[in-house]
Amino acid sequence: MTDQNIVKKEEQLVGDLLETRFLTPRGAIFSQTEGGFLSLAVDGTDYGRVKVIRAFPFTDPARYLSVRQADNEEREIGMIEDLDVFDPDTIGWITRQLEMRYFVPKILKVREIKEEYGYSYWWVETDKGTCRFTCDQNGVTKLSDTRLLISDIDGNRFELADTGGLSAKELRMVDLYM
Amino acid sequence: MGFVKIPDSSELLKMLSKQGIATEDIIGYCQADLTADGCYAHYGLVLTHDQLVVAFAPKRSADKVFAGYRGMAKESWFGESVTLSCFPLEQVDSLKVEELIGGGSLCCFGKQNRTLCCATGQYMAELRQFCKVFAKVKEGTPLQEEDYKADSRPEFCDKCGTPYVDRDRKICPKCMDRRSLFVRTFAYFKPHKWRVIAIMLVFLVHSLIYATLPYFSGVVYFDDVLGKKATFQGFWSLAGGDFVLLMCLTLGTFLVLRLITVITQSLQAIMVAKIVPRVLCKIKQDVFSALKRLSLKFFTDRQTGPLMTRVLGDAGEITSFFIDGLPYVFGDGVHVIATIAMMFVMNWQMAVLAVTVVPTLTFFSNLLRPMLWHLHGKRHRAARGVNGVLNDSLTGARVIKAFGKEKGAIQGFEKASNRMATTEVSVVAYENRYFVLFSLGESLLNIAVWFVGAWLIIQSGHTEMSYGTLATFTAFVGYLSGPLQRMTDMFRWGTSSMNAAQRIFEIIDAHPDVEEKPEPVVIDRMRGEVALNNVTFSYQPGHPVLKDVSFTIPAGQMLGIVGRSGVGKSTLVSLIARLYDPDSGEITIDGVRLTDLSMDSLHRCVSTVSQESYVFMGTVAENIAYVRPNATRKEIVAAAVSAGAHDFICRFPDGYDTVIGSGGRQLSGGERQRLSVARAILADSPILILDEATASVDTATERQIQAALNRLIQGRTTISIAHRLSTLRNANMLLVMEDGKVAEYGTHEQLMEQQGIYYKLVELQTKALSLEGRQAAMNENLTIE
Repeated sequence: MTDQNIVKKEEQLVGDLLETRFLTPRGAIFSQTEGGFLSLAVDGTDYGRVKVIRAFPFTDPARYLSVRQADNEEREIGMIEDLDVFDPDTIGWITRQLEMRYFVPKILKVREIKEEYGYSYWWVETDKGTCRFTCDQNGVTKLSDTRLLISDIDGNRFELADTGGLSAKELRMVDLYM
Repeated sequence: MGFVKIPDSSELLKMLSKQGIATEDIIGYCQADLTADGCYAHYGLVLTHDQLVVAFAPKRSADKVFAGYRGMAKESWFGESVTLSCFPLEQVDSLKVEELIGGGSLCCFGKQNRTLCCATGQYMAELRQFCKVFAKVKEGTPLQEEDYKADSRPEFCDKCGTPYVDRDRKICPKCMDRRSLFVRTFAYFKPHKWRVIAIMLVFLVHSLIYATLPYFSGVVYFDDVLGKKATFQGFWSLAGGDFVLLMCLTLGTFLVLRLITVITQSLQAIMVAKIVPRVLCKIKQDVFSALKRLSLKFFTDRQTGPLMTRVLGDAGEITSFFIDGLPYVFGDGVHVIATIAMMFVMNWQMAVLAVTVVPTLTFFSNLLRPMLWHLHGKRHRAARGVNGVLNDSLTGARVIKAFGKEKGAIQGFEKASNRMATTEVSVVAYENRYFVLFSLGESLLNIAVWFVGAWLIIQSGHTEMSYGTLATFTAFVGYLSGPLQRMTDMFRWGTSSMNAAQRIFEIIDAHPDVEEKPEPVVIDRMRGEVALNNVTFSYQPGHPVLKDVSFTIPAGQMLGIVGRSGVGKSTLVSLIARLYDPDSGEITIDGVRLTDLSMDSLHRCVSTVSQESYVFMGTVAENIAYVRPNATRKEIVAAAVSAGAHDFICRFPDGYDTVIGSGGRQLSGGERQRLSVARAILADSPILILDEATASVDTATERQIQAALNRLIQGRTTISIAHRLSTLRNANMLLVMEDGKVAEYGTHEQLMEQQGIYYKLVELQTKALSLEGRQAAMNENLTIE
């Protein structure tokens, strides 16, 4: 084997690891099974059940979705750069998967936040109903100056999309944890 | 039997019995609380020997209550709306918990592939356990007691349901109330109890004298001396008429009393200065030794900057309160009581007036306290933030400089310090508002005294009130306001100092995740057989890094661990070194469980050479002898020689006495690495862990270190993690990890035959190497020509 050949083979091997395939409606055909699983076929290859993961869950949730095999290896099949280019059915299926995976109730109203011994007790109204949960000291993450992600002691997440939309009283309670 | 029992009264049991499922048929039960469409609901999963039943009820109660939230009734089932779906076991091949963000879903595979339900984080441990039990039932393996033990979860206080501050901390922060906090802090002053008593006595004398001063300057001076009272003359047994001498005597007494107060004041200061530094020192030492005792997890969960603020700032705050604050409360208390008593003796109407205003002031200051508390907490957090940013940019200085990001770093710091400034301003603003209100109340009180006093004199014509009494009262009120202000102030001070005490004790009390058993097994010399049995471990609940890892290394053999980065290799070896304890499964050395083994035996038997080799402040010799401080010079040199470190050490001007570490001589990566190899050689332990020991050095140095290591691993059980497969040439067995699991296990030859992951890795690396080799050969040719 000549040096050139080795280099070529090497490049191909590394290339497989380093290159990302982008999935478009032209090659990728998604479908939803009866049991609610998402499956994918690309250019005739059937991958069976797949998972969809957001690459930028906070800053760009509808774009740069990584589609992976649902087995333990979770090998990436490809990325969706923009979900909007797919047909409405596919958008619906994928959105359903994403909403299941990223189940994060949005906080609409803060009723009460109590603090005791390093834990804060939140009583909030969310788009999924009223919730009461407990956070430890690292529970509140600032995603931006006005956007907060709140995780309770079991890792359940809640989002406060815009602190600017809160009343002065709510803001005063939340402000202590920002 | 079930890991979560269905309550006997539950509607679910009745429904199940209608379906022909008796309670004793149930071998597994767990709950879930979320539908696949993202609605909170109730799910009950019931496993019997022949079917899986999913009970579902929509959520009816208003609030969704998550784990840890106190004072709310447990979520309950609603009988009439429960729907049951049954799946015969022969139609379900497997159940799997899919990890989602903050929770998970339960999928079933078999005749139907579908998502059964979803769950929030609080039920994840139960669900995983349920799947395990299901798998066992499917396989026909008999169930054991262990199968019903759920994974570790944050624990809650039995009494009040408050989550413990640290996962395994056994003291409930609520049931350990402020009073005990106070008492505990007070214990630090116990060794100085005579001094403390002396301080109290001095304060007592000081306050009593101070309280009587207005009486002298008012009643005695105005009424008795200037009013030329005969009885007063008789008291001093002076001849009639010599009022100048009388005045001088009174003023002299006054002066002496003042002098005594000045002396007591300076006595206090001296005694305080003798106690404070010692107590401060003791608290800091306690915190530091607690920090060292705690497991690695405590530090990885927190930033280092905030920890330092805690140790240094909080200790100071506590001591200053106990020394500069508390005795004043005592002294002021005495002062206030004495003053009030004298007021009532002299004139009850005016005393009542003064006394009604006291609780009013206290009441208002009490109202304002919670807000102050919060603001102080916030200021503390902001201060920690600033420290964190500072720490971050100092340790990352190299990266910041290299990428020219100084501006960004400065902005980051500005942002943090601005935040701190804002909180500081709000604290000061609030305190100001508070003090303005307080002074206003005080002035009103003064005016009221003047008014009522004058009124009484004018109305009654000296019978109820004399000029001297009025003068005494105005002075009383004036002197009273100082202690009062201090006492209300003390609430704030006490609050923030109890906050500080709480933070300090949080560290001192934090139970290490990894703890020695009360009566551990002590073994002097171990053979070094390492076995892992179904080890599962996660840093964050719900995200297992290692899943069901099992393998055995016979004593003296070498195991190579291969796998992509982030696959859990380093975690695996840190479990063997017991930096963490596994969530489930067990690790044994020579058949003894790590958790049973004494820490001392363990440390003597396992040593690690890792990628990041830390150098402590001290000499080279001290660094090598770190694990065995009593090693002889000969042994140290011998270890350095076999580590290939002797040569460069001797080239240092100060040889083995060269001071290295922060502030001392800087060592290169290779030099540090060889020092840590020497450390491991000196430790002479039967088990050696090499965690990419040669990853951060150049090829030539690597070859040297590798040679040293090859000598070191002779006759020891060695676990070696390496990216470069050639370094694992001597390994008896190889283990390939993938996604936290053992993907392949066998000898080099066996794995090459399998043509799996290992085979691919070898292919890739030999090609890269041959390429490198050719390149090197070509370069050499060029230089020769």
